[in-house]
Amino acid sequence: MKKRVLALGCGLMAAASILAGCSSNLQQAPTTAAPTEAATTAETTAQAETTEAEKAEAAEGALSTGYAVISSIGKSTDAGEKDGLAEVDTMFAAVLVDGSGKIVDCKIDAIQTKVNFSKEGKLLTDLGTVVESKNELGEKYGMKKASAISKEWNEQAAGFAQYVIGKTADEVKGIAVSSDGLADDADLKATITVHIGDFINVVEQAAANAKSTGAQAGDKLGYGIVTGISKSKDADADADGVAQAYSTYTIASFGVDGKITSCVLDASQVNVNFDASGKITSDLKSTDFKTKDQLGDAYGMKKASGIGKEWNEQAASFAAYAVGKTASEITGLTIDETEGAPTDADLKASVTVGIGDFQEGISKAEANAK
Amino acid sequence: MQNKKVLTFIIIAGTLAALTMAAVNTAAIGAKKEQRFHAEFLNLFDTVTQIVGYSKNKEEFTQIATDVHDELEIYHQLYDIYNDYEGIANIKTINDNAGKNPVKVDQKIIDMLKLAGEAYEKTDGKVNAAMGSVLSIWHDYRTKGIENPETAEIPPMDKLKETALHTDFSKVLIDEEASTVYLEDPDMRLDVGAIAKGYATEQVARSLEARGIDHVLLSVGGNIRAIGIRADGKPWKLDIQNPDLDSDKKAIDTLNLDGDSLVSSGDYERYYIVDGLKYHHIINPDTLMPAAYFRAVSVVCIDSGWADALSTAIFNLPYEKGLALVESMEGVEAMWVLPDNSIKTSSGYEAYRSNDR
Repeated sequence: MKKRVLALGCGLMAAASILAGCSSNLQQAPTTAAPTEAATTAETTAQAETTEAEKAEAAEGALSTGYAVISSIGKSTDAGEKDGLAEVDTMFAAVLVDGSGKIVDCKIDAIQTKVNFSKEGKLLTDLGTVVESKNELGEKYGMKKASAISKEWNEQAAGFAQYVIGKTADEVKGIAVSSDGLADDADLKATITVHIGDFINVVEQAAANAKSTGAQAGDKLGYGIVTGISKSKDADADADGVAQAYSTYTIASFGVDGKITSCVLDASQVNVNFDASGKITSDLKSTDFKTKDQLGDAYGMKKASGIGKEWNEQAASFAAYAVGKTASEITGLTIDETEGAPTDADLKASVTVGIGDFQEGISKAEANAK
Repeated sequence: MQNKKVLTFIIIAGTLAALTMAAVNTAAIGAKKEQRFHAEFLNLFDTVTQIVGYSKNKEEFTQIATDVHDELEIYHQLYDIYNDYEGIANIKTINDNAGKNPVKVDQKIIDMLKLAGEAYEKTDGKVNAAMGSVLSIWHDYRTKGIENPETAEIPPMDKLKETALHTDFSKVLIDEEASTVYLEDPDMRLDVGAIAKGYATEQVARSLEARGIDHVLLSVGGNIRAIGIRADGKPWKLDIQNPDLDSDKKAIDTLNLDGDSLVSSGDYERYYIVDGLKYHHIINPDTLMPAAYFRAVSVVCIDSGWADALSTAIFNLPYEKGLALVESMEGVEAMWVLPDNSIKTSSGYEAYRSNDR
């Protein structure tokens, strides 16, 4: 199955040549949530936030569904004595937000994609590798041993997610961070020892970007991330190689009857380029990685160039298809009793349409919508 | 499974009703007690499968739908060119062994490839399951072009022409005695995208018929096959998609089906854009470029495998030649949507048109 998404090399250009249209609506986020990394706080850029008026329009009991993705490649290293490493660190958050802008449900996860390459610019990691997220890795991620409070990364992320329930995007932005990037609040300190800059940014963005698309009070939030590296390529004399982390994100809310009430799909392709001598040619400081949806909107060129049109259409039709169904109906069989007027067509004859690999994300979302 | 020899399809000159296994005169008996159901699944052939039918209750219909799914899944795995399956020799296995070894395969692959061979002969190579090498170049360029529209390109013609030297279907050696398939040319690859879904649909429909199941409508990624008519005694009604997806008019025609198959091919679902021009996924074996004669074509005939193959064939042929092909075959009718959206039809097509429009 071919998931399709647009990768744009904005992040790979020299900073000076970045087009205005390519400026991120993401904050210049610190790079990673890894325990040993010193987080840097960054200035805030303008956000495309949902206005108060729009929020007020939301029907009584309606919730908004939001998500955000922040990626960085700063921990990648050239090949030398040791093999080269292309590392993509991605933070993810999904939220449900009520009419007053307060977060009522929150899920946080991260994906650390590592691809090794040689001094000759040849990939060494199996391209069939399926990358598990940190929540999926659980204790296999191995932070517990190093953590002063004996908590694994997934437990700490769940703790932070719990902490932001009841807060607005602005209140999340205002969470106290100590000078060395750690939690300052006594309660939070007991839950989370990692640098929280990225946690704050990603949750704040998710809440700020939430839209009312069908979720209702009482719904549960789930998400699924599917990550692969199959589009990576060796370097040769003519062209740089690329290590690519390709993630598809499914965000879904589930009603008490298990039926999906809102569904959003997005994807990101983050590239780390390297040359035939094993040197990284991408700007490691770049934080300008966008998801496909952000790219489409930033460029306003979907119509003109067909940017991601097919993927977008497939994703949108799949999301629309998913609403009102249970996860098992989507991954298995849906059966409805039907009543048609005698003049209605029984089915439509049309050219075969691709489905995309969206079902795995829905299955994962159902599993963690608790 | 009993496979009716496809040859009989060409030779038999009978009415449609004589060939269908649907007992029309008993269609409505007992139907009043039956409810109408619709089933759908997405996990086979990278497309949507839909089933419409009648049953006394949901459990009974779920069983039928599950049986259809399970049987289709067998074909899905056998005809896959991208994935390996534990313990199964499939089309990908045959491709992986091109020029190396004959591969022992299930009879379902042999029978489908025999139909592919007949279609190749009958359509003068306009449907060619041995064109996989050419199609995979287009597939790669299309995938890249969708992901990186700024750098989207069409494949270089010299590369296509070089690859097209390895598409001679006579190099697909089928040994029925030994149940093996061997691609004699090491650079040849099979791609059964123009025939496999239709063939599988037909076989599953025949399985249901053999079990005495009636009043079912199958659609596997647009390969539609009616089993009998509706339980209310009326024929199935099928809307044909308007290739202009932005138009308010969603359907350009509505057909009645009674035990028939209907397949459409068009330029509007799988395509990419290079320099403002659209390049769709149906590649003409003569020009090695996407066929440009029509926006869409539809074919009605008894056998869904043939409907699938012929829709690709007439999409790749100028109207006069496509019409001649359709008129030369018993029980086959077609509709063509030209680039200016005007419509042409074969001589017997009108009989299928629904009057309820």
